[in-house]
Amino acid sequence: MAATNRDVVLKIDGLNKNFDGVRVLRDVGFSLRKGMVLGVVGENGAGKSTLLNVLGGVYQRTSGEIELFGEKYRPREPMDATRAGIAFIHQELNLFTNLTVAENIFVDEGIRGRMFLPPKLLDRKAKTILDALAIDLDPAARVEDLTMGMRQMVEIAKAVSKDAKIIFFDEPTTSLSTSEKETLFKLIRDFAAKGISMIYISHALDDVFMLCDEVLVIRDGETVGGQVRSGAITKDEAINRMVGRKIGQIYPYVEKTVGEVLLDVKGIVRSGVLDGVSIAVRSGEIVGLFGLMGAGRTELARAIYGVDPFDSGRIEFKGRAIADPDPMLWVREKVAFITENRRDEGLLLPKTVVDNISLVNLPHMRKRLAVLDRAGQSAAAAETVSKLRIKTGDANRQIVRNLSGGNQQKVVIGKWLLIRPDLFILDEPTRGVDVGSKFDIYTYINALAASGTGVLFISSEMEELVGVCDRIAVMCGGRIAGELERAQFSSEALLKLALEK
Amino acid sequence: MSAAREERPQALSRLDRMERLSEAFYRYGLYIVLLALVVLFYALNSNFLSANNAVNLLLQTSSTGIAAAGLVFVMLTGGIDISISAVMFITAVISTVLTDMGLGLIGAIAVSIACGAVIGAVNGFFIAKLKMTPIIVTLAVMYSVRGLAIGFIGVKTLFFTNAVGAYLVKTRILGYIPLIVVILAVVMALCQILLSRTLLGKQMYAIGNNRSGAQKMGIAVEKRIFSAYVLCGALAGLAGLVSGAQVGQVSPAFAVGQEFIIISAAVLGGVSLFGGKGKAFPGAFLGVLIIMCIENGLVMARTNMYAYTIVRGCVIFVAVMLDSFHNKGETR
Repeated sequence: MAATNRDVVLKIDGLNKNFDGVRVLRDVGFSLRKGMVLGVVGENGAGKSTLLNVLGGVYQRTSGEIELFGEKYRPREPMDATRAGIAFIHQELNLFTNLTVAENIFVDEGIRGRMFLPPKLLDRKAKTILDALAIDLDPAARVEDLTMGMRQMVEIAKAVSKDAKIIFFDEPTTSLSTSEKETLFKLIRDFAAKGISMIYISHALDDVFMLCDEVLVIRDGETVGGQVRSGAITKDEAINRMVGRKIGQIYPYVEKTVGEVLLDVKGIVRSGVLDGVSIAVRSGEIVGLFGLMGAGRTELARAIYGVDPFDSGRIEFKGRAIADPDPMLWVREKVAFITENRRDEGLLLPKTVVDNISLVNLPHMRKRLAVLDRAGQSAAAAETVSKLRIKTGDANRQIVRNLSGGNQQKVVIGKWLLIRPDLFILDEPTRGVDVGSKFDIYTYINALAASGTGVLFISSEMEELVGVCDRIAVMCGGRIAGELERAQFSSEALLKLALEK
Repeated sequence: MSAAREERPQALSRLDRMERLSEAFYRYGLYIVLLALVVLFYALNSNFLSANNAVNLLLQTSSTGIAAAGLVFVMLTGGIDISISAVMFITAVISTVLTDMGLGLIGAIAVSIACGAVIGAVNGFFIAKLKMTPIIVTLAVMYSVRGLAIGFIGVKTLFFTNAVGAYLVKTRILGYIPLIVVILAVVMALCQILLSRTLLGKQMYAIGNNRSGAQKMGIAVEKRIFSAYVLCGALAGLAGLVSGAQVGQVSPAFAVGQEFIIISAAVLGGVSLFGGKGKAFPGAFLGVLIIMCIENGLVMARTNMYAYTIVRGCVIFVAVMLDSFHNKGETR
């Protein structure tokens, strides 16, 4: 490398980050030079965003050295990073939709030496900034009226107005149209020419290779093969590094008898999200649904279950067309859905284990005059608790909020056990769950399938899908990119489909 | 990216249409409603449009309008203040007593504003610093403050009929415009400038729209929320003085229930209960004017006095309903 030491703006050495004793980043090191674009790639949960969050002051590092412009750098909060000249363009933009473009740019610090900020002054100042970046935006436009791409431009303009020397992009293209993407890429190249350094995280490998000078692969919180010039590695090699060869966990796989088609979904379209998705689940079959962030997996499940609307498409269940799906109807059909977001959507946190478990089955727990059968509830819950091995105190008194993540998730799953579902849709059932609980959950899913229940298992963890499923469908950009039978399972094959554009 | 992402040619759902409707309502609707009311009441009683009654209407608008302008700050940050009526009561009591003892008008204004600001600071402290729920904090403060004032004067009625009160009520600027209306105009102008042309104002809008985002960006969220309650309290204090002088007597039931008229007037004027949206002028001012117009017009049309509350209830219901549609999906 011809670069001298003076060119290095950001240098990281032996960086570690633990969350509750779990190592999320392990001995990460790289250096960023002036005007360089560094691409960071890896699977979901590999630790890319955590890395940026540590550098951006959102999380504190556990150990390791960070040097910024030759000096020690230890941000305690996001403001420290901003002051140090680091701008962070998050996946979820940080804008105020009720304010105009100009107001958004100046809302945190105003204009120095000005007590009054008349709209004309703000618009003029903002226009200067936008013009310098060749961004074609009306400074007086309200952000709520802008597309996602335009909003992102606002955030970038704001970053630049703060005199950022380093810009982090976390998945900047997921909600952009093709032309908006081009505008963003042009801007990134301009910034690099001006000497601004950038770190660019994306699942779109083609973009990364085209845009970045160097690439860093992260797997399970560790860098793989170090920092390499983007010409020195092919896309396939990068995918290999992202997947690696892991020691396979022991997954409980049981042979099942696959029966009739239970759920048959044909050509579901939801404008901008789902682009004609078809998928089928047979009884006794565990179908995995894989995809990278933003591929539309959760959206598909929500559309099928009637939580979100869709524009067109057909859903059939046990051979009958379901015209207007809604959750109540699915519960009557004995179809269960566990959402990705268990704390908000799946649990009554301040209620007891018994209350939560008997929730779905309440209509069948009535005595005369619609009085609830508390004893029956307790008995039914006790069975679930033991089947799923939920670690809890007195289930009648234990508040769900105080259970561990794994046990909370078992309660979410357990509440459906009582209606003995014919079809079970699980969205990321093992996220944030400890290994022991994961095993219990897999075992339970297997037992269900063995008794004839069809399972649609959504997950970002390739390993568990490969271990548990009979068949895996892979989504990419709102459509099914392909399906793999058990014999064809491999992390490489899955990732290739998921990255297909 | 698929082409589907570039366009969304979807038929408008019913909810979307309601949203559009409320959007249009907030742009021109208030003026249309006001005009319709004026025409209606003029048809019922031709005196409604007399110069005398017009000035009367503005006078009726004043104290509520001043308090509503202060409430806008609080509501922008996504909060609410129901202690306004109690603040009005205590400052009316204090200014009556002090002016009886010889305090002048400027002094009375200063004391009222200061007293209101202190109570607002108490609200602000618990809400901004201790992150307590605004409705509960201001409810507790409402009862405490009213109780404090009653404890101070006892269960009796004070008469605010001294020279200061008379001067405040009777003075006409340029021989025609009542001093109180001038005060209202100054308050409205100052508040709207603060909201639309200063960093403080912009940041209040930002906090109401996305509080965690504002925090991340380094905006002093707690201080801004605190100052919103101080401003609200200060203007409620001023409103108490004005209202006391106008009514001429301050009984323990003074301004009881007034907070809900003020809140509903603000909501009617497009100040969102969800935060982040609304203006002091013309927004909240028009809201108050419409409500006062209805009361004034119903009185002149000699309707049954129970009709006021029924009509007011309906107006509030419609305003809040439109606010809910208007804010669908934006407070995420």
